[in-house]
Amino acid sequence: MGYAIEVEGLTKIYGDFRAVDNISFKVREGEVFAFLGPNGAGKTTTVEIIEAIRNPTKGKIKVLGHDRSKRTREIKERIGVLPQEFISFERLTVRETLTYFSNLYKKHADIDEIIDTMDLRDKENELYMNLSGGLKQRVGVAIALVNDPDIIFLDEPTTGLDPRARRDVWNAIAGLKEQGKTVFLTTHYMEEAEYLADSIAIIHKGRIVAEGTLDELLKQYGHQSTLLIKGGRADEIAGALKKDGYGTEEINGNVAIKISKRDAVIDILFHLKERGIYYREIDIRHSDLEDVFLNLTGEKLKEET
Amino acid sequence: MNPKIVAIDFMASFRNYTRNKGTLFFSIAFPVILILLFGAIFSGGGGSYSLYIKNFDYKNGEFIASMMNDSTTGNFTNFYDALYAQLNSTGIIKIKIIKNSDVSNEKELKDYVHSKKLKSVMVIPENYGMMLGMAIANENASIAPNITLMLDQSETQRNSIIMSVISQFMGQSNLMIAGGQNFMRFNTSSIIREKFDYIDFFVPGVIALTVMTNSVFGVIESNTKFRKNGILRKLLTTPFTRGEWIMAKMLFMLFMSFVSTFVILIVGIVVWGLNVHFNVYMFILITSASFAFAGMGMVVTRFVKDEETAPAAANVITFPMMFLAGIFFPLEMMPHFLQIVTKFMPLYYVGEGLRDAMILGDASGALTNTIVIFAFAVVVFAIGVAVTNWKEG
Repeated sequence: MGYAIEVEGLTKIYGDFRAVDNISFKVREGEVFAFLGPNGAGKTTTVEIIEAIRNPTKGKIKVLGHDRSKRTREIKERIGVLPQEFISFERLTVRETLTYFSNLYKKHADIDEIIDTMDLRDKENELYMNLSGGLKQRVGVAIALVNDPDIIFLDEPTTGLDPRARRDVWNAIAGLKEQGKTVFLTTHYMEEAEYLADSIAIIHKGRIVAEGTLDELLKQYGHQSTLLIKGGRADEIAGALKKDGYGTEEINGNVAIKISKRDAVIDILFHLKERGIYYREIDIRHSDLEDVFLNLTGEKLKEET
Repeated sequence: MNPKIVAIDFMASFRNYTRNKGTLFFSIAFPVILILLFGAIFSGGGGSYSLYIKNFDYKNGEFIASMMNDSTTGNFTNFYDALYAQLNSTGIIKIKIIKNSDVSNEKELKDYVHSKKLKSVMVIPENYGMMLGMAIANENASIAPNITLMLDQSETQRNSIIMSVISQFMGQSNLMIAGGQNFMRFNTSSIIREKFDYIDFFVPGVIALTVMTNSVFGVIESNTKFRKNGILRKLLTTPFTRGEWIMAKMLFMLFMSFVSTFVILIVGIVVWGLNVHFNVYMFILITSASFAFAGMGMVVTRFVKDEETAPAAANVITFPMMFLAGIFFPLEMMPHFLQIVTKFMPLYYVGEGLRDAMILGDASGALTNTIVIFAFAVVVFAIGVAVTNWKEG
């Protein structure tokens, strides 16, 4: 399989600010590629340069094998884009909206099929302005499909949605992957990347700090799982484990121990049993992309909201 | 340029627009309300009709009264006061006397009528009472002089009411004095309209104003709101080109300009009896104005990109023009220095041009204004297109 997108040495400078700093990556055909990073990391700048909305300061970009700056018209026919914070024409119905955008292209997907795929059938004659946030985003994804594109760009498709609406949009995106589309997704939700992505690039302050599949990233940067010991007297438990040389931390009255291998859990529990120390239950939390990001950047990915 | 894509966007604009009660109100209903409201205020219609009277014989009224019995003159010592009171008592006519200090002879009367734009004037000739008395005494109606009614012929409804009131009044008087012989009678003469009504002045102005606001704010909406909502970014990723987009939006704006014009003219004609000449100048003026003001909107949104502040910035341009460009009141009413300022306002030329073309039938005036606004449109629209950029930095 070839590459849908190839980016090499991409840099975007605004004044003194390097929004995107010499990044390179490749997106394979048919995969869901997630560009993960906090707000202001350079995700949207990068994706908008690939979509030809912005011009790069430096760098080479190939989309579907074509130089992005030369075969713009042809590339436009073959990509579908949901821009960040997109709001469509307020007073067109869902069907009219899809028809409008569909007519801009030479190649058309079947609108009824899109309506069904995106589960919009009972809303097809509603005005866009009367739809809920989640439905609007689903219409946005649907618009990105009207030309039956080879690559679909979704820029923060679930920002601001409640968990249920987010789940609906995720299912819609997962459906695209099944159709063999290449999906380029930008997000600052690690769950979104974990749920949807085949490959993930983590971007921080304009640079890609890590890239790979979810497993690869967890293996390489996740390091440890955490054992949580709940119930019982935290100081007693922590004191006992400290004597045995374990680093402990207290979280919400529970004792947390970072462990790097599975056997450590058995050892710890054995120690506690030997000393007759009471606890109610244990919980093992595996590392996730949040930990990966924290380990890579020393910062938290999640916004404090 | 793909005409199909242009047509598709035009239709989308049409739907989006006609489903928005707010914009529909401001581009169609608002100008109609304006001309109804201002037309009513300045036409002074309704209720009773003012009848101006120039009486060259008032000084003889007391003498005439003394010759007559009290049943005719009542408590009045002057025959003419009795006449005025009876005319007023109809409730339909309101008498207004033109004083001798304002008008002392026939020639002055003519100028006075024209300069004050009077619509109906009754003229009683000198020695009318004496001659009337002689006619009655000799029972010879043919030597009785005529009272003249000067009437503005464009005011047909008003004229017929005034004439019927006067003939009824004279019929009764004739019956009373001489058993039905026509001793008192009147003839009419017409007041030639040299000046036009306020509504003739106002309607072309409202058309110019509506074209301006439709175009400026139409462009501002599509450039700021669609930018903020990501629609412009979205369109950049489609094969829709900037040229096609501008073409589609301009065609829609032109369409709206002509729809508004049409509605305003219909109301003007039906309600105010406006007499409109349709000609090619009107078409070119409205088209040029749409492009010119759209260009101004583009320039504004080049510098003020925010959806909330851009309309405010546009108001800074449109508001002074609305009041100073001779839309609501004529230029002559303004101090000299403001008149000079007005000459720099494009809306002035649109309003004047439309007035020349539609109302006055002044071809040379229409041509001059059309040339000015056409040239302005070419320049401003070109600048507007040049500075309109979809791309983000």
